[in-house]
Amino acid sequence: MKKPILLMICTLICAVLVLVRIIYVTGHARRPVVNQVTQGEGAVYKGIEYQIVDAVLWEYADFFKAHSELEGYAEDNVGKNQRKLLVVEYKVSRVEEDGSLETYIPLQYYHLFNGIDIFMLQAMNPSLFDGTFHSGDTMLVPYELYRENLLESQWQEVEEGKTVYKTVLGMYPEKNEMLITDVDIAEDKDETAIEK
Amino acid sequence: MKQLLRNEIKKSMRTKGFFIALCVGMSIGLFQMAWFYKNVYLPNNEEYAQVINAGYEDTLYGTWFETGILQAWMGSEIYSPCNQLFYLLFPLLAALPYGGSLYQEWGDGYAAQMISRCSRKKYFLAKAAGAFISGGTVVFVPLFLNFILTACYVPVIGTDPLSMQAVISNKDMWASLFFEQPVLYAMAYMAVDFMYGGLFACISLAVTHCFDNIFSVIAFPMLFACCLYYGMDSLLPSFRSYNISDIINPAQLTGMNRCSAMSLATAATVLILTLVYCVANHKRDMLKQR
Repeated sequence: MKKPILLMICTLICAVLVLVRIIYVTGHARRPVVNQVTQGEGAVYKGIEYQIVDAVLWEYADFFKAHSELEGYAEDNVGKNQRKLLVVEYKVSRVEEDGSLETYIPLQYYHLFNGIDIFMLQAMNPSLFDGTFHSGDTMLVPYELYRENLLESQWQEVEEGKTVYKTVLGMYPEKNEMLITDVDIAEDKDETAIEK
Repeated sequence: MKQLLRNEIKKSMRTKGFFIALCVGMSIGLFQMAWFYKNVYLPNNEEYAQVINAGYEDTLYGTWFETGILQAWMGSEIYSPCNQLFYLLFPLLAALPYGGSLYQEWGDGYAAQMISRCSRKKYFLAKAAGAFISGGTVVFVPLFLNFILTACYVPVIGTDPLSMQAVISNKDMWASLFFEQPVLYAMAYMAVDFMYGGLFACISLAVTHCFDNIFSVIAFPMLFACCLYYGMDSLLPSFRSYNISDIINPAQLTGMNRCSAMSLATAATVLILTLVYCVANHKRDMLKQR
């Protein structure tokens, strides 16, 4: 009779110790400080302030029709309504003397993220790479949204402009999230070309 | 019936096979923990020390992320071969404790004795229950213990998609749980694995009369699962969602797992298994040994 009770007490003590350890480890997880800003507000990263000025959602083929100078970056055989392009305009301002501009600004939405086509970025923002970019200028960053990566309900929300996006600067120790809640759908805008 | 059920379950948890299977499963779990700690956790900590002191110009600046529990748990960790090994052996481990018991009992006359004392239906039902529970337990325990022990050094936090450490994508089954509620995801899959462990053990019972040796009876579920995994995946890739050898792995390696498909596949498996088990034992002459 004594042995089972002793065994039970030892098991209970072990369970409590393990639980305390788990709570301690989880409580001391090295999570980043999340700095979330709404659309239009500025977020500072590496001494540079980024502010989202505009976000336009294009149908993939329509974007390249409207911007023939970028046609070389269009992929062939993209089916109708299978891909969209979200073009985000950032106003970039220097805050610190030794600030360093970050061009890799991933877009996060639902449970995935999109990187950037660096070549298309270069074509859309030549001043970033030829030394004529100044503090206060804007840069355009294109993000491709793929229908095959989303559930049907999620794609529906993308098409209706209801998706909340986040562009992210830095992962640790501070994660700057710039929310994009107001997206213009390209056919609603009276815009024929992007001018730099 | 209660007495019979209790006896069968007790017997199923006390076989040599049960302890061997449990030891194998737990060895894989412990090895995986040690491997992950040495090859992923420690290097990540070293990188943390560098990142925390990095300046703006350093390429490492702002790029670090904390390792979450689902990156380290054997069920969803794919850096080491342990996940693949465990799920390859999964059907064998499940069948080892009690899958061969019906074969043995028909052979030594125990089954005939039991059928003459209680009804055929009760005996076979209790036998299936014993196999189901022991099969499920033997695969559940290593996964559960691995999760608990891993949580002692890896925090129980969700996965940030930006960290590129998630093994599943946005469209996969239970993606929200994976990224936001890792404990629920792990528990859900452990429940699925318990159920499938039990089903694999019952497959052994169902095919008892098809083979002339106990080794074949116990090994059959694993061979069947391998045929499904390698054969069906290659020949019928559009049916991957219904492939039960893919469904059991929380890492969702095929990226085709869907809740509705899993439910359908499970229901079909249970139905077919029940039919085969019943038909094989329904009118078998209890005086006819193997």
